[in-house]
Amino acid sequence: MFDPYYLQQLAIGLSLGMTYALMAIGFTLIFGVLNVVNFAHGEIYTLGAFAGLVLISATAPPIVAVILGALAIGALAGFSLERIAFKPFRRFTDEASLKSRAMRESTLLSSLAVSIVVREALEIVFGSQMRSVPFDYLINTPVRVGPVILVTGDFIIFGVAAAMLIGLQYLLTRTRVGLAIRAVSNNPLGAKYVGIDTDRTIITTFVVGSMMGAAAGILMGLYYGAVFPAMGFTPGIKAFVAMVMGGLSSIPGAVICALILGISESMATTFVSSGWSDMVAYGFLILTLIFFPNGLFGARRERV
Amino acid sequence: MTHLLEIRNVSRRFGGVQAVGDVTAHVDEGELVGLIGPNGAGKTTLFNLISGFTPLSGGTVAFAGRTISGLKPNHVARLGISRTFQNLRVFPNMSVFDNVSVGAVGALPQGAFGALFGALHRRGRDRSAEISRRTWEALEAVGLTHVAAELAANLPYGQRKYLEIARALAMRPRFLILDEPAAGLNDTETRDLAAFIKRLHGQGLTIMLVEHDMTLVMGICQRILVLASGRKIADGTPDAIRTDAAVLEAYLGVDE
Repeated sequence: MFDPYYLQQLAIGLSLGMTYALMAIGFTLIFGVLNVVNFAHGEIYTLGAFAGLVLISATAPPIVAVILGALAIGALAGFSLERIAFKPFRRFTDEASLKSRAMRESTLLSSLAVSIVVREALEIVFGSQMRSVPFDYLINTPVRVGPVILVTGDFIIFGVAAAMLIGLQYLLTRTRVGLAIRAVSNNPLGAKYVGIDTDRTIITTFVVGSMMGAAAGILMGLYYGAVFPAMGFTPGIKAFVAMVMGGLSSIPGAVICALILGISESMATTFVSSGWSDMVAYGFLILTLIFFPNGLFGARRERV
Repeated sequence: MTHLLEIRNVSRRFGGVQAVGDVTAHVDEGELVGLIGPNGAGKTTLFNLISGFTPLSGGTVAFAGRTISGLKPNHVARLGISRTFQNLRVFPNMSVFDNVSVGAVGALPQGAFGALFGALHRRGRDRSAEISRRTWEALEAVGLTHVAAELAANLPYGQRKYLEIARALAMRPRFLILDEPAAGLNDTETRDLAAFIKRLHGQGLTIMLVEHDMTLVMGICQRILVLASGRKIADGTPDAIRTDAAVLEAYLGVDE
């Protein structure tokens, strides 16, 4: 009979993977449209968590209000991020500037700069230590499912990740906003000439992606019970790895790869010390880049 | 009577190069006008100036009595000028149907809320129905209904050209600009295209067309503008252009 220990590890891995997936969805959405890596996505996640924490300590509202607050901050942060770090470098004036690497690299650096500034600012205001989330708000009540023990947060995270994926698919394929997003991601100049407001479409993409990032942040804060300025870094890296493995612009691909990452990390701790489990993520990244340069789901899927 | 499109003393410099210099021209409602000229004459630049893509260095462009110079391309497009491109700009990873509906959506702007939750209320559903009606109509006009579900990237080159025209038609434009539609097509395809453009024109659409294929331009256009080195050197009927001394000189050079 299968050892329940492995089932438990599998469940832990799945929930870990889901947390990476939450982050990877917004990350991949923004990459798919602009073709640039948004290094500040991790800080959006952190901002979402802090927004929730501040709300909790100030007014102790119901949990739904906490999440709505985090979403609002995420939307605001996404909007500002686009205006500050991306818009000034975007010039759709001709084919050459669209494909220019210099332009792509400048937004890479400007978003990195924003991420550093935000992280340091949070440290100045809140200090660099972990702040714990009040016990009442934690989402880690144990739940027994057959031989496996999960916590309520696992179900919430699974539900939210699934809702995000389905919602995003609905947005992209069934709504006119989604049609515009896909058109801009395919060919911004062509979209502009048929009356699409590319600027507004890009802002919308940032707002949606960042709301997802902020939601991931507050959920993780409530799940682990700790919020700190550098908390966005590791999930940011994992989301990046999942995006690259998934083929850069495939959202379902990124989610599947995030799950693979989570499961293999938790399985790896069975055999090596847990300090090495991050090696699994980077090892996967290197293997993917060597054997599947287009990612595991790269060529076959529609972009975005 | 005002002209549909009025270009007055338009010019554009790129650094030290005068790409378009002091061009004045007009297009009337219902005309089919050709724009020709040797390579580097500034034809595409002139199109870009009209459609708002390249800012003017001088002069004005007016459409239907309204000054449009200085507007962004998406605004110009919504006023009723749509265009196609010399090097195609279809959306390769979207279906043919979706490609064309982007045109219909672009022409029917609305707020973010309606666009997101349109399916949930009646006016939104009417709008969706209108978009899909315009999309099918445009696909039918170019004869691509049978490949509506196909990815645009999978279409052969000639069909992608018609797809781009369909996308422009879905906007229900008053004025259609075609940038080298026959480039890369063989003789039969070019003849079909000529018939197609004539049919569009026959339905009352005003069209301006840049083309290298002289038989196509001479065969279907009512009036032809000739640019050389950024300046307008002739403007007249195909017969007049064929024998115009300045045009012959620009195309063939002068014997010393």
